[in-house]
Amino acid sequence: MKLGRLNHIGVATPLKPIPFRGGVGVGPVGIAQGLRSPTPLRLGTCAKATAPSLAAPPLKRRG
Amino acid sequence: MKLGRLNHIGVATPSIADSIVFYRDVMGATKIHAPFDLPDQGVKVCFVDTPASAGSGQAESGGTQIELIEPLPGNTSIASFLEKNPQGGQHHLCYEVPDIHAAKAELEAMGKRVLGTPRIGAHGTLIFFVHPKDMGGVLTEIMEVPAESGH
Repeated sequence: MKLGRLNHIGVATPLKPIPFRGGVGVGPVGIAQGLRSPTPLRLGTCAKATAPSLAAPPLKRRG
Repeated sequence: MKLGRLNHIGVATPSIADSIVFYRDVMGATKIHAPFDLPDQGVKVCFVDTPASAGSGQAESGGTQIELIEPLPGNTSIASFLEKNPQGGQHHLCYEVPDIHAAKAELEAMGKRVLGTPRIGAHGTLIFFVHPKDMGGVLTEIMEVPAESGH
């Protein structure tokens, strides 16, 4: 193995819920469910990582 | 304060010699600097370079370094760290700033506990440490930007 670039350092931090519309907390579960945040949530940028979309799905018109 | 470049990660070790073997033979480090003593701080240190750019595989200057830290006889801070972590481990993160005194004043104005006064660090520039309890649990070293290309 050859030592590569130091990509990042993981720093553990206590997860404090950010209030969402409807009182739903943010966190891995909230992100996985595609919940919508009232304010933009900044995620860390990483070239190879793809962050889950936080945008709400488009509304379906009926009729 | 404005976040500067991550200059190095301090890694405490009971034996720099053993750690050099590890970084060379296991991690594939190609540029390992000669160890030297910092008697004022009671430690022996050794810098291991990591590549500056992704995929280059070359340990060109400019990449974040790993600072191996071994206590000299009489040292208490690193020695006590090693008592809790006998194999060694991550000890601190070091960020660069353009003006060490301005950074100290700003951090203190925010209520952060600066440990001691700025002193000459391993790169020959002024450094100080900030208490981990005020820095999200991470012992943080602030260093003035080296005069040369990052190291």
